Amino acid sequence: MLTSAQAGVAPGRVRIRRVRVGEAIAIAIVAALAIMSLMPLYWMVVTAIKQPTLVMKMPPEWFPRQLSLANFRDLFARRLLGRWTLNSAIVATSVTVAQLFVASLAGYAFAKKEFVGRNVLFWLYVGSMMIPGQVTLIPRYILMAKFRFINTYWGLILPSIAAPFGVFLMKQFMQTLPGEIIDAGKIDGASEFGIYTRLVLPLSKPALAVLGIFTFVSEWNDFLWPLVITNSSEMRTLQVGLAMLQEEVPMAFGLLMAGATYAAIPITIVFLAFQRYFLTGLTVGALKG
Amino acid sequence: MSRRVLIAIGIVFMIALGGYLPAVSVAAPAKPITITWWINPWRIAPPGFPADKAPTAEDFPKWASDEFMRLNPGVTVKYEVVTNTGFDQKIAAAILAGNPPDVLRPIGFKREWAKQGLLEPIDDYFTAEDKQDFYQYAMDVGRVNGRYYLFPWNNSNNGMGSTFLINPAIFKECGVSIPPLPERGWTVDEFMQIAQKLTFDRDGDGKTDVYALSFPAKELLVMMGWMHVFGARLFNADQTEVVLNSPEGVRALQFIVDAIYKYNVAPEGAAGMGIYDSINMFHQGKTAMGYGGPYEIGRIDRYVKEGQLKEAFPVHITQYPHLPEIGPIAYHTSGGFVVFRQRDAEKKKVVMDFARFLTSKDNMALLKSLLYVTARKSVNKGLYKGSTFEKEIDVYTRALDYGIPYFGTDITTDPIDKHLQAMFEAALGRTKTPKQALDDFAREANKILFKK
Repeated sequence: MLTSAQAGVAPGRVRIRRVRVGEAIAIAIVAALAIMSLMPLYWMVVTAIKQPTLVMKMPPEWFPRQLSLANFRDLFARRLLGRWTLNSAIVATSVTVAQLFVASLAGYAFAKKEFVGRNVLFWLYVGSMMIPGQVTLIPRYILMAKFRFINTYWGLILPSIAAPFGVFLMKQFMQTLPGEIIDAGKIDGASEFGIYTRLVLPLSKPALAVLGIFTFVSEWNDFLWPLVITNSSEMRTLQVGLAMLQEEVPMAFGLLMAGATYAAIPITIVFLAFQRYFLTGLTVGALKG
Repeated sequence: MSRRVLIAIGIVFMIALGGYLPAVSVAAPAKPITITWWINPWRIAPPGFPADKAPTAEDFPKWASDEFMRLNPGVTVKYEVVTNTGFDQKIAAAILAGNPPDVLRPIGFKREWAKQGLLEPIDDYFTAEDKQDFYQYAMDVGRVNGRYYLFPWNNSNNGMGSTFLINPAIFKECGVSIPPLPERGWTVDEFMQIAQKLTFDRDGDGKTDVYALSFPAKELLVMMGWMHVFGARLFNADQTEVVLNSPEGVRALQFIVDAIYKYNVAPEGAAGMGIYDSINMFHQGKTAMGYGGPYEIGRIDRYVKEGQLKEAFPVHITQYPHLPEIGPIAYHTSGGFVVFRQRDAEKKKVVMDFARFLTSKDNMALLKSLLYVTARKSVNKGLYKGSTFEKEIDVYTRALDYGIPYFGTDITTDPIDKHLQAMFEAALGRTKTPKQALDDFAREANKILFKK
């Protein structure tokens, strides 16, 4: 086998060329995967802005020549669309804010406070993540019915606030915060709540961002619970309203894609707003020491 | 005119008005009463709805609620349109929490509810005229242990599993004649010969442009229709065993597989096909035949109004093909309204009145806007007379005369639906032979339903 010296090429240059070839292949693969991932999104938007009669055209037009906002006009003509959007915004925002508060408090306690039964309580709490949502649906509903929260914002918001995943995520992150900072806060005379608000929360921004995005997206997209807990058209969320639209006009793909595009806008905004924290937050708990 | 004469005229007028009023309204209840009712999406046009618009799922329930409140002062009616997706979970949660709606149009009558005492028996609320007027099979859908629990409303369904739609333009293009009226029936052999002529390459590029039909494996009613064509039945006569894997069942499934892969009269990929894929192919002229009844003709009209289809095209209804030794078949079913248990006698009376109001002759006739036939003989008699759909409705109702309840009469088959679908998908995707697929299904279904 020829070495690089024997071949008359400097060893450094061979390595650079290999790295560049390797990088190019990797970039090509990643680009292909990215295009594959974006394809449904692209198709959704393109279908939404096609002429309704061209949506089902065969072969399909990947790059439509005639654009139209007819599907969006039809969508916005729906009487309660604004109300459903408002409901979704109220529910998703309220649950996200409340869950960040509750999960960070609980996570802080589980990570940094010593108390009897801490580990047992934590694992019991986290273990409840194993129970599928369908199993707890009816008990949750019965509880809400007893509180007379059916068809109210309380019924939509309350059951989602104390989610074990959030507590688990925050606890894992807060464990990595140095204890010395908390001790320094105590020495400076900060109260427990002051330490939590002034020291722990600012340091936990990446984890809070991840939890915030996950919670908002999951609440915004939730379908079954809002369907079950609400009894009037006015209290429906956007996803339930769009599902109704889908069943009314199952083959109006242009209109349905316009609805899906519209529903995806807030999620996209939330993600873009918090993405700088997101990557840091994704490695929560991955590093020790 | 003297004052006395004016007073006398006034009194006569008041008496006349008093005699008229009870005909349109009833006495107000002693206390305010609120009724709740749930229905899945039905796009029925209420009276006075503009003809050039397509109704939404809210229009009919809103009208019915408002109208009943107008006729019954002191009564508040609250409706909810519940999506088909999640319908069962929502009603299950409401029942378990003790607050189901007063009136519900279930997606498929649930016998367990009656057996568990959750529903009000309604025998006393059927008049002698009602009993004569409702089709017996429609009433029987809601009969449990000799008592009735369902106010019949719609007769049969959208035609899935009962009849075919054909595109006469493609038939003409291929020089194929349409089966003759009044029944538009055809044998399986005739059907297959016609299907082969209807499958063709229109533009000469060597690829099939138009198929005779499609087989949507995910649509159980359509697929079970085919099974019944060959005499297969889901249950044995006393409904104690799943017997779809009979020789008739294997023959039926083999026929479908052959239609796709041997005779090539239907597109491959049937295993992943749902009913909307099939409807879409028919609407796009990719298949010469589709599935369904009059409702599906109405769908074409609605899609044109909504801009989803460029233009309407004429459609005829035919029977499923039949074997001469078995005869024609269709799917018998009926939907309607149930009343959940009532604690208050006064409210119960109003709730029953409301259920009867929904299923009255006049209100049942509103199903015409969906091109549905109703559960009342008297309503159906003149409903489509003189309309452009008269012949098609006649073919459809004649087909229903051969109706069979594909899923038995005393058993809830929900727990095996997924297995039934998986069986069709496996056979049509050729991951199993028809016999293997049917045997596996029967074994699993018997285990689930009969602990065998």
